[in-house]
Amino acid sequence: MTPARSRSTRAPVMIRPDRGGWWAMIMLLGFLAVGLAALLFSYFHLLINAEQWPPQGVETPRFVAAAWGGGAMLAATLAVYAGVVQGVRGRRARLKIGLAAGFVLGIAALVVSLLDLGHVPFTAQTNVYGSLFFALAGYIAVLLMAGLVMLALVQFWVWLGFFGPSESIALVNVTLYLAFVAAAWIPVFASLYLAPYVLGGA
Amino acid sequence: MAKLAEQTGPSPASDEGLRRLATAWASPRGFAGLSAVNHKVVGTRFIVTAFFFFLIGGIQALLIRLQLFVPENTLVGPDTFNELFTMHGTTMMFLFALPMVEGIGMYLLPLMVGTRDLPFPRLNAFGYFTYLFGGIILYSSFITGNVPDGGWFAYPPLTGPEFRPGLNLDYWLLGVTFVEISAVAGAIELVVVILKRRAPGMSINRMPVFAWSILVTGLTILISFPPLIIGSLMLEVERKLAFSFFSATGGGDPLLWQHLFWWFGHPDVYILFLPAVGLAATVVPVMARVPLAGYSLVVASIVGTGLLSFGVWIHHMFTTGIPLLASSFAGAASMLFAITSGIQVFALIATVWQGKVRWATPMLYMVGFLLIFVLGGITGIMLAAPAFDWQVHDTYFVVAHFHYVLIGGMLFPFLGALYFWFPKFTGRMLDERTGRLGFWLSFLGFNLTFLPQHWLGFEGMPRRVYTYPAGLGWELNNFLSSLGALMLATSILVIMFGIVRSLRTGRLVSANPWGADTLEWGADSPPAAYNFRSIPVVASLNPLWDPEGMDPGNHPEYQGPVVTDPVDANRREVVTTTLVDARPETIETLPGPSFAPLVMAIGLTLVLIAALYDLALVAVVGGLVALAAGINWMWPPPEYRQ
Amino acid sequence: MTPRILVRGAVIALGAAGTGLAGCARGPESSLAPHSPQAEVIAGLWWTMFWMGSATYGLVLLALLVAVVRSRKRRKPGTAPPTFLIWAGGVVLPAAVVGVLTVLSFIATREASPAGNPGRGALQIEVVGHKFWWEVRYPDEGIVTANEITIPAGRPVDLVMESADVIHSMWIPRLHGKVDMVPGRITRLQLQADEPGIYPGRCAEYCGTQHAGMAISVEALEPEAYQDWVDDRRSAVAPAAGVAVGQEVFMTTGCAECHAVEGTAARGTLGPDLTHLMSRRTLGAGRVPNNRGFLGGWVVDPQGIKPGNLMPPTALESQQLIDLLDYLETLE
Ligand code: HEA
Ligand code: HEA
Ligand code: HEC
Ligand code: CUA
Ligand SMILES: [Cu+2]
Repeated sequence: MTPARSRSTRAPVMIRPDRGGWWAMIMLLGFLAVGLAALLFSYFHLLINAEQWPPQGVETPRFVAAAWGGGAMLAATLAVYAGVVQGVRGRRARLKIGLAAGFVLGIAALVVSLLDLGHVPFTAQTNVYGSLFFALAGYIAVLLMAGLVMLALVQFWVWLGFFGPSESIALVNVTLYLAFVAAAWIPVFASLYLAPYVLGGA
Repeated sequence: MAKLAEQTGPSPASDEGLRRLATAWASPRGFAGLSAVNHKVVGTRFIVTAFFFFLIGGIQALLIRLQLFVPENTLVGPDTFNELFTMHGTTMMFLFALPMVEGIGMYLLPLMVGTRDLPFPRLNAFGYFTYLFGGIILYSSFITGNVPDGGWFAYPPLTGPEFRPGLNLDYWLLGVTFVEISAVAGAIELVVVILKRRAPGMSINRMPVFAWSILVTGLTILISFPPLIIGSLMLEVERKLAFSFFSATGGGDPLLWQHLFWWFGHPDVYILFLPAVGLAATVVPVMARVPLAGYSLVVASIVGTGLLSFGVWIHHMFTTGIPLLASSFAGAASMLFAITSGIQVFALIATVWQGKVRWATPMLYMVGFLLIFVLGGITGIMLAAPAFDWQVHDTYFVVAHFHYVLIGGMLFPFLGALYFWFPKFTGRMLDERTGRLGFWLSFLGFNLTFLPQHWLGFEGMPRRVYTYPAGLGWELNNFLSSLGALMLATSILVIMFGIVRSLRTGRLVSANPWGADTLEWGADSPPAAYNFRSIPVVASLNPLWDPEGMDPGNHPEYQGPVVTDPVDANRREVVTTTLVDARPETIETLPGPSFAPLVMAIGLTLVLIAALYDLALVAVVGGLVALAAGINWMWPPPEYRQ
Repeated sequence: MTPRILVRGAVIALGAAGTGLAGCARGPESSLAPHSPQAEVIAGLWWTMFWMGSATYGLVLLALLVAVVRSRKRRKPGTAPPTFLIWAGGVVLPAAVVGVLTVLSFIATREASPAGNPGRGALQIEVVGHKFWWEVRYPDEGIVTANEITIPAGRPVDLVMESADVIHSMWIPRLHGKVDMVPGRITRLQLQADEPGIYPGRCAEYCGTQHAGMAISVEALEPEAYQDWVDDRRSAVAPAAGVAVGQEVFMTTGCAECHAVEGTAARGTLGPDLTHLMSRRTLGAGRVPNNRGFLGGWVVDPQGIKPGNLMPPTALESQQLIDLLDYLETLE
């Protein structure tokens, strides 16, 4: 066996770095997605069992504010994505702008969602619909909060000079995570705000 | 990336090379040992702790059996009995079987696939501490007098706020959830090591069966644990914050919990069983001195088991009044496991068939596994017939079924594996005399305990009863069963005695005492902290058996050696390879010892205690501690600076 | 080490199975002593599965035994793996067995389910599970009782079941499989006893402290005897003379808050209806025989007899107790 040199296998690929850390994030997101599926399963199981949905005495909440929150979440993801795409090419200023914009938009999304939760015409204790509403919306809110903590830290480290073209896994992972939260919001929104109109006979 | 090409450091075979490797990978000792992250250290901790919990769960089982020795016995009262079987089931399933399986995987897999450590060593250490603390929290309920008593599947409304006030079930829900965090962390760890850290050349068709079984197990964990975690949190907020999901009074449905639980619970039994298949399929070929018969079939059946396991949970709910159509489908689907398990069983038989078997203790346990598991599997197939299940559901027939498959299909293979890998773990052979005695005692004791329970089921004895009246024809079989449990306990004592003695006086062994085929036998016994001097290159399914199995020259797809270590005495470097072909791809640097995982686990434990006792301040403090530890943990190393 | 392992395993498993299953006398709660069409179907399914399962297990043992013997005779390991064995034993055999079994199971399940017996004109009885006793109501006959269900033999009976608290499960092994009683849902179980007799059973879903003490029994009577039974219950209960003092004790010491007695002011629903107390064979859902001694013991110290049940002890002076028992004994 000759101690040969091996060729440099591949240039870094931005979206699919295919390294340990990337796979760990994929696993984590898969895990969280199944968690969401379990919540949605609960929602529809109880919806099907109920005679009327939402049950007596509860009005379906208005969805305008929630839609704004979801929009902000999506915008935050896009901003971070745009910044990271630039960042892995070495454009640090744009990276910082993208992350910062994403963070601000994310906070806005969180605030809008929490305000919205405070204004629905029922509580988690009212009945199953209320409980499920807060469980599902709460799931998204908690995921979003965790995402914002991650984003804040990554941002902080970027300001300190870490991460960039030669080490991008943290940047990619935070983008993936935020994209997941924004995507997870869609079925939740559809179930909580729209399904009652279609399936509930309300 | 470029580093892959250069061999800058001294050769790993040189003294200087070894010294550097040893420094880079050394685990701290003494108190600082708490910061150790090496997969062998953490894996051993998992195995030892899990065994300890097995003893506790076993003692609870003994108390159960002693209480049921004779009719109308008064050794323990009804409430204590209910706590006993709840904690027995919970301990065995969550604190013994799963952590044991993961611990073995953590110890063996990096060695078996030829790398130096698991991909996220700190996560691994963290997983251990959440497991330990979760277990301690669960058991602290004995001290605070809040022992959970809802059974291991904790059906509401019996476990809801209305019918179980007090903290008992909160201990259970939060403690078990905490332990599950560890299981999920371990699963991510194991899946990624298999996907990305296999030695160069170990393409998926050269992956040991054990790696396949753990891969499927890990993915199954990731898909089956969320419903239980989510369900537990839902029940917890129902208890603490008056949400309603499961209680009919608030418009909820008790059956929702059953769906969520068994969506987890059924795959969970294969999570315990599949690794055992992997262990047996590793041990039997070595003892028979031939490669495993039907490797691809076995791999296919393992993957099939994983997929199928999500389609049958309804078979635990046949008597709840769900529609007949759902029952029939679930029953028919459950029966398909006869094929997947049949392949696994007959592959082992076929291996014996063509081999020349060495009848040492590991082999005895593997044959014991076949004899017991197949019987339990067949009763499982019977249970999958809904009408029959209506009669025997929640009776001792089911108790017998699941001990046959759990003890036959998990404990026995594990004990065989213990005898098999003990020389690798410790450098000493495990005593054969006590080994054989232990096997016969446990095999006979097991059957004496659980075979009579089938009859009890037919004769109408429900499970979870703290006593029973005389005159129903239940006396004899209960008596035999309890006698068997004592015999089983004796066997465990014998085995433990053998282990303790062999630790000090066992025969010293070389690297490969069994003449086995997988890579771990190429490392020292016990393995050095860095596992291998240089990363092996694999060109065969049985690398240590084929003369050319480790020669890169014989490897058509292989594109050049990756002898990177030991470049730097301060860095823990591992090779990442491609998903399918295991071509070397990059070098990644692993983080070293750290107290952050421990501190983070402590912080989260504080949050947990705060949740139990409604202590807002403690929760905040715990959360901040965990956050600080997390930041410290994740702090990027200097070379990440651009 | 030898094929002895296999031989012993086989001896233990099948030998014991043979003698134990086929030979032993069946107990009163044995699902293998069916006394109804449905239980018959299920027991039949079991025996078919038992023979199929034994044959399968025997084949697996045989394969293992042959493998071991061959392996012992060998000088050195063979080279050609017998893949046919895996296909034969691991694919063809199980596919054939479970193929047949799926069909058999489907047929039996249908036959034993209400779908297979659209019991027209079935008698309806409502059963409500309580921690740890059973409320039994005959809506058409206007009878309320507890812990014992009386039915006419040879006629299908529909149990319409619900639960007042947690999940319980109704199981009369000689008559049918079990069906859970789930809060918030109504479940049904169809019973039909072939011949008159007493068929005991018990709660099969863990429901708390006294899950073990929650027995039930079904008594099947000849149709005429059943009609008499119904008529007896329906004739107005005139309190026997001379027990007014005892009745007074009953009304004033708290009993009436939990128990109902027809024709009196006692309307409690937390405990069993006592209108027909003395016609029941047992007290405390099968816990002890129903006689004056145990009745007295039960009233004074129910927790001693059935620890954890939901009836509190009542402190009574001895004369009060005697009067109370005199009264209770008139409740037929
Ligand atoms: C390791 C764990 C394990 C394993 C592997 C299995 C395997 C199987 N189990 Fe079991 N099961 C449990 C653990 C396990 N189970 C537990 C813990 C419970 C109870 C939980 C509780 O209520 O507390 C339970 C309960 C349970 C029930 C519910 C019973 C009830 O509560 O009423 C059912 C019903 O269908 C069932 C079915 C099966 C089937 C069909 C298999 C199959 O996978 C078996 C397949 C294997 C074989 C068949 C043997 C090998 C095959 C051959 C040699 C080929 C030839 C065979 C034939 C032709 C039949 N199991
Ligand atoms: C892997 C899982 C596993 C294992 C290994 C076991 C092992 C055993 N189980 Fe367990 N069992 C379950 C999982 C398991 N069980 C589950 C999930 C339930 C359902 C719970 C529920 O209904 O909620 C259950 C329920 C259950 C019941 C039914 C209880 C009931 O319904 O009322 C019984 C009764 O016989 C029983 C018995 C036993 C026995 C005798 C053993 C034996 O194999 C144990 C052998 C071990 C020992 C005897 C320990 C030896 C230790 C010593 C000798 C002491 C040494 C001491 C020191 C060093 C201090 N088990
Ligand atoms: C707090 C409610 C409560 C009070 C008060 C109460 N009981 Fe009970 N009683 C019950 C319950 C609940 C049961 C069922 C216990 C069981 O079997 O689990 C029961 C069972 C009984 C039984 C057995 C019925 C049967 O068919 O098995 C008798 C007899 C009885 N009570 C008599 C009395 C008398 C007499 C008093 C008054 C001195 C009394 N009870 C007071 C709740 C009560
Ligand atoms: Cu009611 Cu068990
Ligand atoms: Cu199952």
